[in-house]
Amino acid sequence: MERVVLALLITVTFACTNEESDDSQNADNFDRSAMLVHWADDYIMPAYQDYQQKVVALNSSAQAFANAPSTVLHSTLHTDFVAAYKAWQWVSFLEIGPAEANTLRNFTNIYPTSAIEINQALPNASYNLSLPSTFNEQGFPALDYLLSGLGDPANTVSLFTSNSDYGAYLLALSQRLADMATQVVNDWQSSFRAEFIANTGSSATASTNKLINDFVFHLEKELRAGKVGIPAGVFSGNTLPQNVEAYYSDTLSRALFLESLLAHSAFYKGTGFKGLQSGSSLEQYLDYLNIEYQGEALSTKINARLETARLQATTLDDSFARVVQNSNSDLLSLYDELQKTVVLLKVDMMQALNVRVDYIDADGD
Amino acid sequence: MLDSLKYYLKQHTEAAPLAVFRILFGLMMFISLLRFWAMGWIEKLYLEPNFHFSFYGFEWVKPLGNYTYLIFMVCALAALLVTIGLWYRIAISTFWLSFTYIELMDKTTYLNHYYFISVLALLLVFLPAHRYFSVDAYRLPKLATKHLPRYSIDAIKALLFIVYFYAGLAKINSDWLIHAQPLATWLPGKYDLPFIGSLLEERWLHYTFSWAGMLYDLSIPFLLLYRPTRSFAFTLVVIFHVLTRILFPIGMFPYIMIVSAFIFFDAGFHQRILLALQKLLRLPKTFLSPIGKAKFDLKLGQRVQIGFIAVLLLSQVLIPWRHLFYPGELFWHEQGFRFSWRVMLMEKAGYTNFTVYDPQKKERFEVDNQDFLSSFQEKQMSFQPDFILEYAHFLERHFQKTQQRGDLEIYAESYVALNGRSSQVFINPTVDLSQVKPGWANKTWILPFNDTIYGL
Repeated sequence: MERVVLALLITVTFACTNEESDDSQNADNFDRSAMLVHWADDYIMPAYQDYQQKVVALNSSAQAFANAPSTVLHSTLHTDFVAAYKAWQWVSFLEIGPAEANTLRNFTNIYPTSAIEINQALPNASYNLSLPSTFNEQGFPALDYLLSGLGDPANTVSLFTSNSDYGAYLLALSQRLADMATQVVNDWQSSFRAEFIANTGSSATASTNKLINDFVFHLEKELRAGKVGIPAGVFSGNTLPQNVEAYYSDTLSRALFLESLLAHSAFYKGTGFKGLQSGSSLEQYLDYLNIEYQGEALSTKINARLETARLQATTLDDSFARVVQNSNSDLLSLYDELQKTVVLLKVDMMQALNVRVDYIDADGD
Repeated sequence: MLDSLKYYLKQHTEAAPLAVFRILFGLMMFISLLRFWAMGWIEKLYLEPNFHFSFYGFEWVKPLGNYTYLIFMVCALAALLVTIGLWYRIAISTFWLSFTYIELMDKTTYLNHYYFISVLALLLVFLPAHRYFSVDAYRLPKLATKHLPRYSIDAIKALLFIVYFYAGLAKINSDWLIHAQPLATWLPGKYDLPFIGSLLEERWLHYTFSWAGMLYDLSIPFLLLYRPTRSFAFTLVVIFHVLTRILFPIGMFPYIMIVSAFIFFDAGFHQRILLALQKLLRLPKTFLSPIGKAKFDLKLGQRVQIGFIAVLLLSQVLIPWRHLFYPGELFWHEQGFRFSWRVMLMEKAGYTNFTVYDPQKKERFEVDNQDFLSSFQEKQMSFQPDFILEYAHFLERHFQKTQQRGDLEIYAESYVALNGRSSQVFINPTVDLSQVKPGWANKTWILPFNDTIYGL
């Protein structure tokens, strides 16, 4: 008897320690590691490289403008600002690896920015932009304030000419964006890509699980709430037009929203960064598992919702702040549409793909 | 009848199985608590969240800030004392109290196996598990004995019997047997396991595991009780629990169940374990062969203990059936779902948001759950009605206090998916939850389930 028990206990110990090792032989028919490779090579790395180029360009036109402020250079700078801000929308949800380690999103796009704090920081040449307390004094929203929040371009030029503090702050902001982007691109190239595609497991910290969580979280909190719900007053009872993204540029908020929506769709459908190269996707994964939603393919349903949201947004004024003031119910109905998309992604898709919603690896029973 | 009961209660058996059980139980608990601490779960689950979900009637049980560590320390220390059998009654009572307190602090972390530990610990409070091979028996020879009333070992067997058998009964339903759910959802997600990973997508395997799981739970208590099948049954216990350990994140539970199954073995087996232990630790001979011969004579004290044991076991037989008082689908409304050994029965996920309406100021706004709940709490809240209600009441109090508002109306927009079905609206969106009283009454504000699950 004891021998049986002993043998079994040894088996238990062996089986359970063995289980910790994560060397996957991935014989699954749906190739999840192919999906990771597609994400890394056709979406994430090209998107980051594009973003890096755009912020580096932004940084050099900021230098040119700070050195010799003029309305012509201001216009170039603003064009580069818009291009970089749009490029940012493609990488914003990738809060994994180097971006996660550096809390890239918090340092890049916390809005509304604080004009008060920026004006307090301006005269001190020694601002420390790596402090979490300075989230709302930097990144694109702060640049937006410096470029378009100080008056018309002529006014802005004269302020920059008369007070070098503005130029110095502008450069600190653009330099920081360029540095952070370069850091993330380098980390992905040198080591994180390999780590990312090797982490094929199914645990809460595996790449697929984490990135799907990031993706859905971003759609819920940034696209649905940040860009639409919060300015429309969904969470406050009263409308907050000043909380739209790129508030000072005025006519940019809808374009940024659409860019972000496009990025989410591309990631979900697996069409790659700006249609670069298609590959295995969440959409295919759902089809592979044959997941239905009320008699229809869930993947189709999600696509339809994303498309409806896009069409709704295209009918709106290009300034969401104006939409809030003039016809907020339109923005609220866009919010409702996005809300339905979140339900399909967060409840139906994540359940079907068996992706755990939380990062806490607590026990189940 | 009464005579045969009296005869049974007077029967004696060897004390070794209960001593081994006590030692291993204490040790397992000690390791579990250390593991819980080392994983950082005390902070994550009890200290970081600002709000905690309470069991109805136990709202006063809350984490105690940094003193929460103290509760864990006391609990772990008590577990060690149980293992060595020092101040046993105090130790096991302290263990039961502190462990149960921990479980009551936040029902977000409710697990059937934690409940099992609480019930088992309470049972052990009334069992003479310290009369043999313990420091107590060594230090107080008049306590020591090699023989115990038979019921003291049978009581543990009975509890294990109930746990397994009820878990098996709960699996007799159409989702589990006809649709192989939730295993068909869970198993493919473990594609990355060595050797078996590729099989886990196979439909036939989902059915095999579902049916085998049901048959295992229903038959294992009988196979363990019956001597000729016992070794075979224990092999099954090990295979089953190792498999669950590999496939699901269930922590220490499989080990606890494997070790608990030892109680079904004959005394000789336990005697040899104790002999090995005595040699290994160079314990005095009196640990194995006590001088004392304590008597169990069915006097008042012992009768009271027997009464408690009987009530406890009877309650375990009855409590799992309380769901019969509620109409509708149990998996959907979950009224009577907990505390009834419905283990790993469903994959349920939800998305629930709340709208606050201030009728005086005519203001309406949505709540960002992240402002108040951890991601784990939000996940659990999103599909469990009692969580939703408790949280709605909290939201009313919170906004009344922080924003100087009067009576508020709280509405839930809730979508829930169960066992691979499409998500559907869960909570009646027109019901002002702030007006709903918590309690045992049927929750009519849960919308009916769109489908039917047949079975127990």
